[in-house]
Amino acid sequence: MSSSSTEIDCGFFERRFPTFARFFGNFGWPIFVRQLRADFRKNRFFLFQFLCLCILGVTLIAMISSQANDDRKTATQIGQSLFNSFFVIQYLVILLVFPACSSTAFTEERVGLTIDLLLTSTLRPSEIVWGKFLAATVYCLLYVIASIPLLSISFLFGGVELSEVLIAYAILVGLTLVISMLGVCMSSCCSGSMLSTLAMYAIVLVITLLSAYVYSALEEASGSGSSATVIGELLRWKGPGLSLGGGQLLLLPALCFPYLFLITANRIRPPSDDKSLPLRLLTFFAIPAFIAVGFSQHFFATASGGVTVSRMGWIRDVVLQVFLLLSVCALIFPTEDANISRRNRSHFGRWTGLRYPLRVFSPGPFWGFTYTVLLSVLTCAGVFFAWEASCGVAAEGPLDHFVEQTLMTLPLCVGAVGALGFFLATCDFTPLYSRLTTVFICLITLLLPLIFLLSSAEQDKVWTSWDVLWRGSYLSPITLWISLSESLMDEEKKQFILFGLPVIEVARIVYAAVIVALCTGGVCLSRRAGYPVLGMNTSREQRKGP
Amino acid sequence: MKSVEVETTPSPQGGAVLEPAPIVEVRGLSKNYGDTLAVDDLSFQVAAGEIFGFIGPNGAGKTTTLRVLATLLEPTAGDIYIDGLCVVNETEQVRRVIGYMPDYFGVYDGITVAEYLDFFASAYGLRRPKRRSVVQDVLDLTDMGDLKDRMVASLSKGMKQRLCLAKTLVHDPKVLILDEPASALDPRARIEMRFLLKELCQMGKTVLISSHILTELSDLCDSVAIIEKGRLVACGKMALLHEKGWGADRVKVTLHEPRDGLEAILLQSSLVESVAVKDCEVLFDYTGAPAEFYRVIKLLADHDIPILAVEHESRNLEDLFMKLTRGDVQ
Repeated sequence: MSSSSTEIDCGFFERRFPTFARFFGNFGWPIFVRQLRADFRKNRFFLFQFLCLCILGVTLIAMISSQANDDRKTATQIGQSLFNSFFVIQYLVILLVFPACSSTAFTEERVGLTIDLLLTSTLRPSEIVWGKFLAATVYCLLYVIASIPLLSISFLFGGVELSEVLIAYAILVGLTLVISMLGVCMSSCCSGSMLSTLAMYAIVLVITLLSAYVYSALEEASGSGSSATVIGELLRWKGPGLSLGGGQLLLLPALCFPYLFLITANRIRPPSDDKSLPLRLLTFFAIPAFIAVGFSQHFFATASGGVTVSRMGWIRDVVLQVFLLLSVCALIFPTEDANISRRNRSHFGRWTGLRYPLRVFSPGPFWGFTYTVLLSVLTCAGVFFAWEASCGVAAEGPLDHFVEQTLMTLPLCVGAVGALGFFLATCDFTPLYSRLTTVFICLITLLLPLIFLLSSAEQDKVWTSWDVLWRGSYLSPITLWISLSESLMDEEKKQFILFGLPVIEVARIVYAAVIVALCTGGVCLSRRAGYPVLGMNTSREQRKGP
Repeated sequence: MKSVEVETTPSPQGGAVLEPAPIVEVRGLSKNYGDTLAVDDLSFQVAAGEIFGFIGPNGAGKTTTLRVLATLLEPTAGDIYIDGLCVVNETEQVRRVIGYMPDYFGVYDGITVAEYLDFFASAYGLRRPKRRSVVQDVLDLTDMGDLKDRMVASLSKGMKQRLCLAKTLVHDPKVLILDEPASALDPRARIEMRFLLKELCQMGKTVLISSHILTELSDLCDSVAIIEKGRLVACGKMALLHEKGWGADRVKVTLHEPRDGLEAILLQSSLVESVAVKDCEVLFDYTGAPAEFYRVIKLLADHDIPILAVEHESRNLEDLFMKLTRGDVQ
């Protein structure tokens, strides 16, 4: 061996696709190969696959033999029933059996004391996660692919279209990928294999229950719908509550996957690494994309005349979706650790001139707050313009008023939550405590109307505007939501007037004042503690090398 | 406790020998775990091609320091450079020039020794044709060529230790960071490990090694750093430790008959410390160079002290360690 360090020669990908190689590396190929080498020496892997396929095959054959004797069913119905059963069994096997393979991906490295060896290699965290993910998902994918011949049995009876089969397989493969990544993510968050497996199955249980709910709703719908397979109904499905459509339901796991990937990579990243930029970039596109899919699905349904949800109900659900998603952003990004590592300071400190605005994607509570406000304003503006464009000339008065008022208030409300997080982070709260405190204060604010409703001691008191101002119950989004209701009587509307102004306008002023006060406090504390605000304080932290 | 530092090696002619450029430079390293200060303002340098021993009682901060050097922990304060690369800002490049062997480690079950090394070689970005030759080279170097098809899980503790050392060599790093590499090894395996490290040093590699087996380190190391409670107590070349009085030699002089005022006579010499007289026996610490010991004897002879015998007991690293540390932990 030579005394100098080995020069790493370029492989095929580095030579042909240098940009690709820089971003994606080797996809954790060494880890994947090592895992396969170890696992393929054991009989467990083959037995596992064989048993799962046997159970599936035996179940389908039993169903065929029982349904073939039923004279009331046509061949098409038998085919559709077989297809539905196949899909459900596969779905459940993927959901309930295979998480055990992925939920120990990192915990076995920790328990086996091999994680340090892996982390000091030149594999990047993202490559390690890719490798672990590929190794965890390959068994499940093999199972899904190996089951294709069994599915072909349902084709013999007819009634199932090829597009439905392709979509079913896309869903199963998608589920496999998301569940595997979820397992890898859980294993990176937990210290022991037992704990991560239990946590994983707790989440899987929730997913199973939600899936069962959706499935029962689809089965109910398939009784009256044109298509009798669950896949056909899923694409047409319009869920209750948040009005998540089938498109959004399919988009949700697709968005979950990169989030889980980034969270896992961040868990194993050294503390000095940037853990914020990819998450912020993803969120910047994910939220608008999610809302846009909901919008487009609604418009397509309107165009085809199949809308069952009222226009008012639909836009309320959209606003609620936007509010929930932006609130999560306000909870996560402004509450990041204020003490930014020297590595990040020097990296993002170089973003000057035209690149300076890109600092909204840099880590830290100040830029986290700025990012949240910017994202809120852009999202609300996007929804507003999309709404205006969809209304055209036939805009509805009260509905327009509701949309305008909520979309004007939302960024301020979200900004106030973000400002609180920013302030707490600069007070040296850890991210976890900042988030818990923010959630607690937000919950109290949200429930203020209920709290005052329950306090019977002051029922008979005559409330002046000043009294109401100090009570602050109008700050609750619930109060504001009710104040915009169309069905309010004139007498009831008076309750939502303060100093001659609608409470939503007063709330906006108070939110703005809260933002200014908390931000001023946060900036002052940051400056005193040396945390970066507009600049990255690189001159203070950077020292010259030898 | 004041730390002692030795900068240069004096040449026989009196001038200073030019030190090789430091390949590892630690300046003001501090590391906090919450309120606990694990490492406090630690500064030292390691010259290229030397074996540097890192000594300290349990909980002194040795492993924390080595983990910071291995890019596994971010320092709370301070600058660390390895081969001119900043450990904080240039993590990926630093990992190419270091090979880290932790104090406790595991191995992957279900693969052979060759596959294990092949995995780490590919993890360091080595391509397949080169990987094969590198794995074979490393197996030969660590004397594990016969074991390449053995399952890793079936290896003994000593062999696993050797395998882990082999793993740290696959990418041919300039600096080896070894945290207690000889712990739990039998005497033969320790001696073999020592020879291996010396061989690596001859190949131009710099070795940072922490160990509790001080007698072995004193034979192996060119320089040592002793830390206690996260602070540097002493640091410098082994050869200079004794000359600087860190490890003063203990001398026992036996007299023909007891004499008064012996302590005052001996303390006239600047080379003598801690004199204890008991009947015909005099014990004292000699802090000078061996070549100057005759001055003490001459001093005694000038005062007509009837010397019967002189026993000279050289202090080793263990004595030095015991002298400089108190066994306190964080």
